[in-house]
Amino acid sequence: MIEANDIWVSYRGWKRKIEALTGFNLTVNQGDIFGLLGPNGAGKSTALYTILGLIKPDKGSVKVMNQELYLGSSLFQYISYLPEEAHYHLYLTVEEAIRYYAELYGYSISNPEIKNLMESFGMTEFKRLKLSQCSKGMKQKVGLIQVLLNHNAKIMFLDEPTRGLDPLTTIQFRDILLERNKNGVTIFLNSHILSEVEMICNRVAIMDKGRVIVQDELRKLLTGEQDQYEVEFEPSDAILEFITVTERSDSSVKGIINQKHLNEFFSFIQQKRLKLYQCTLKRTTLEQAFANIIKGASGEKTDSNKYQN
Amino acid sequence: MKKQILTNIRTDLIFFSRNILLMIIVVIMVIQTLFSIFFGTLVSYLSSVKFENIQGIVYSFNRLVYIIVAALGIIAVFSHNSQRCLKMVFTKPCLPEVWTASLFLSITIVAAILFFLSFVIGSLLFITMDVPYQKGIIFICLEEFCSALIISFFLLMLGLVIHPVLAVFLIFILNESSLYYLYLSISASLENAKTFTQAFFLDISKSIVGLLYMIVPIQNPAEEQFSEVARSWVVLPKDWGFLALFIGYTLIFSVLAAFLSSELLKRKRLI
Repeated sequence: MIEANDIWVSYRGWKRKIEALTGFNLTVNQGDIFGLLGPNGAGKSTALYTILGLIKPDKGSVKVMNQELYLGSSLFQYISYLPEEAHYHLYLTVEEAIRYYAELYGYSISNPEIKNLMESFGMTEFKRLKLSQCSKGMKQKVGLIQVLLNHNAKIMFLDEPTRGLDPLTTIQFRDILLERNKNGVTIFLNSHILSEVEMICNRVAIMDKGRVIVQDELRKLLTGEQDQYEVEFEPSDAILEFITVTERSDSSVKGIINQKHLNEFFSFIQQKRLKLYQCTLKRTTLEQAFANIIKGASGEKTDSNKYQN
Repeated sequence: MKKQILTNIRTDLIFFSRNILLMIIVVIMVIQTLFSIFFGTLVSYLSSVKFENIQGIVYSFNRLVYIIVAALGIIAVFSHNSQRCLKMVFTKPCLPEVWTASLFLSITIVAAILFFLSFVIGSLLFITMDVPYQKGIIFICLEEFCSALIISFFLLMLGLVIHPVLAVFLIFILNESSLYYLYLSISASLENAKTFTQAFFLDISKSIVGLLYMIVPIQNPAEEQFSEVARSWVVLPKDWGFLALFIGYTLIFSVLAAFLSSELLKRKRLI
């Protein structure tokens, strides 16, 4: 669906050249909900602009649905795009803007359809308000409406989609995205909110310093340490050597054990007649995985490394 | 494409009607024009120079319209650039050529309406002041309409390359008359050059100015013929011929400017 090969993009500053993308590679498959993550300045937005054809790369090629995108390409009839900032036609009213963006897709949007869309995002009472007078959240809702307007969309590019949204609208929009994805729409998400990515994405790429350092299925990224269990039990004089103790108090001992020692551990608890308070599969959150990968890429000692040592 | 052009034109017209900078220019110019119309009408009732007063009023109004039309293109480009909203247009199946053509057509529509208004005001003044009607008013309005479009499109193009303030400043320098006089004065200096170095640099300067003179669009073609019509408002058949040529030139320039503008737009980073 999206194929980016060895993309290099640089910005010429006043005195120096800034390398925004340095050999960016990416593959997004049809039907994916793909999350592009990275710290500030990693080049996520530049990558998105390059994929959309808004920036011409110095080197490399990007193909979306096997074609290169350019400004106003006919391929955009299958693409919806939500920009990171509210870069809309601020002199238009909410209703005029929605109608304008719909008509650029070639639709004659009917009044009931506009009414329904605005109602579903709670924008009906603001339809005559100019975008320049709208709040950040209201502008974001206009952005979301114009994304959902394109009924032919096969790919949605969403740059920080829930920025400035209230929790209810966030949930509502997330549900709509999942629904559209079920109907075959590929979703490309650029987000800082890792919990959101974790909730809906099936594949992610993590960027740093202009290139993708990890690209995999989210499940695999989060199951790196899934063969480990967190246990908490009553203190005992003897502790088995395969238990990595993380915390010890008078009332309990907390530790990590490998799956292969699980049976041995249960026998030990039974034998010693100790109380077992907790035994759960150790889960890595996306936040932890992200931090580990980024720190690992920059050569820092990660939390998990420290932990293992 | 037709639908997209119409949509863009509608949006451009909304933009023009709501732009504060344009409104300020309009208000200032309207006040100035109303004063001239008021005093012109007053003087014409008190004296016998009614025709000259109609001329004065139409010229004032045309000057107002000329400045407004000239500003339309560059303000549209500057505003859309600073709002960074063009990426919302070009990430839809709408080509830069379509957007540019729509903007050029919108400016043409506004210019046509305003110059037609000027023509109507002038014609009504002929009737109300009981002055024999002169066809020169049509000629003057059409000529000013073409000049205004040329300057507006030229500014729009410059606005895509450089900052609008710089573009306006450049227009004052890079216009056909200033370049023509500069060319003449360099030529005169070249004839009186005493050293080889002087002559060499003056020759290069003359070539550059000559080239610029050829590049900048013509705003006042057939100046002599047109100034005669402007003075008397009497139009001879050959004058209509010159005007037809000027309209043709405006059309060719507009198409070329629209093409160049869309190419410049494609090279901009619209992010």
